[in-house]
Amino acid sequence: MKEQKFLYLFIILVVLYAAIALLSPSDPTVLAKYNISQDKAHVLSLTVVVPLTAIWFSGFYGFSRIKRYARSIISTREGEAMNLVANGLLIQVLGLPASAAISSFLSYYALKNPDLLPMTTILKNYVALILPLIAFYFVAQGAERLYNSVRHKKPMSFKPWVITFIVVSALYSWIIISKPINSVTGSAVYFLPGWLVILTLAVPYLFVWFQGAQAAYQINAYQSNVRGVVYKKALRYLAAGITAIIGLSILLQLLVTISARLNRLNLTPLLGVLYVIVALYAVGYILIALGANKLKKIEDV
Amino acid sequence: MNDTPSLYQHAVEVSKDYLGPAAERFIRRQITTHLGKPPEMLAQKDMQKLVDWVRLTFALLTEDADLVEEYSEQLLSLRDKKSNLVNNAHQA
Repeated sequence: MKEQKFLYLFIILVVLYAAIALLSPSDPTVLAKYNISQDKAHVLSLTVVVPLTAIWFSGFYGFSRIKRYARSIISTREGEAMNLVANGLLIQVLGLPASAAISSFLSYYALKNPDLLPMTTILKNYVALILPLIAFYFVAQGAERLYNSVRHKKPMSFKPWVITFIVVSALYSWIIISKPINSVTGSAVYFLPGWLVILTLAVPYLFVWFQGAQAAYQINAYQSNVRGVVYKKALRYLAAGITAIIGLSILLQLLVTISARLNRLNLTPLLGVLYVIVALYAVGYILIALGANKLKKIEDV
Repeated sequence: MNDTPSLYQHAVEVSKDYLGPAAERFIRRQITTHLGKPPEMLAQKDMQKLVDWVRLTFALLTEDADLVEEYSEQLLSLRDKKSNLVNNAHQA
């Protein structure tokens, strides 16, 4: 089965990430700062790697359930739409360990070759962008198809969206290209000129967030307007789960892209928030699995 | 050409209020699996048996007993509606 191949790929990516995270040496300055040995640092890494891996597996479980449901109704209009959403979630789920593995490797590489810090930073930023860009594209395509398959009591109004995104775009662009707080060198943390950061990072991220927000809206509108009391109830879990995943992804991406600007501040609370967000991913994917299981049951009885 | 919706199409339409886009697949499955005939051949005499099966299977999808009963009665009412249409046609 195709899902099995994806599972193997997923496991390989997770193992790769775990290996890099646990085996690569930590930054000596960090070890000195917290007065811990390399071995202790590796043990501490486990406290991150293990829960992260568990959360990613819950993500794969959520994907596998929605994919199974989509396959069972693939010849229908809503089946094709659900399949697109499932494919988007697959890229999201595979992307989590993949980008973590690449990021960990690049961090290690930069540690060994400090001259390559700009290159590895640039690569990390683009890797973190490209996978959600593709994932959200598919989810948005699927959501749009579902939205268009039913009649809506209240058609979507674009004005609030446009105004909100103009404000968000302006704020976000200002945040990422303004000088970082307490920058020793005075150079931007992206190692790119401001105009390139805007064009190739800020604009694509804003596009990803717009697509994601629109997809979340459309899936919820579909759930709200579709006929079928029992069908709607099952779909509620799926819509809630997808909305949570999209919302959390956006929040995570936003925090990660601006966290580099906050290098003077105590990052511990921010790290705590990031970990809570990642943990909530598991809740989102479990909701997706619950909803997909309920919808599949309708097709099985 | 007869454009009047068949009993099967009426059953699907009623089911959409409960199962939405999955309604046609659900009814089709009940008819082919439990009545052993093509869905389009659904007749009035089959309705009681269909409703009995729908009651059983729909109860697996919801804990709301009132909803199960409501759906079953809606389907059963199709049998009576169709009966009246046939009787009126004969009298005319």
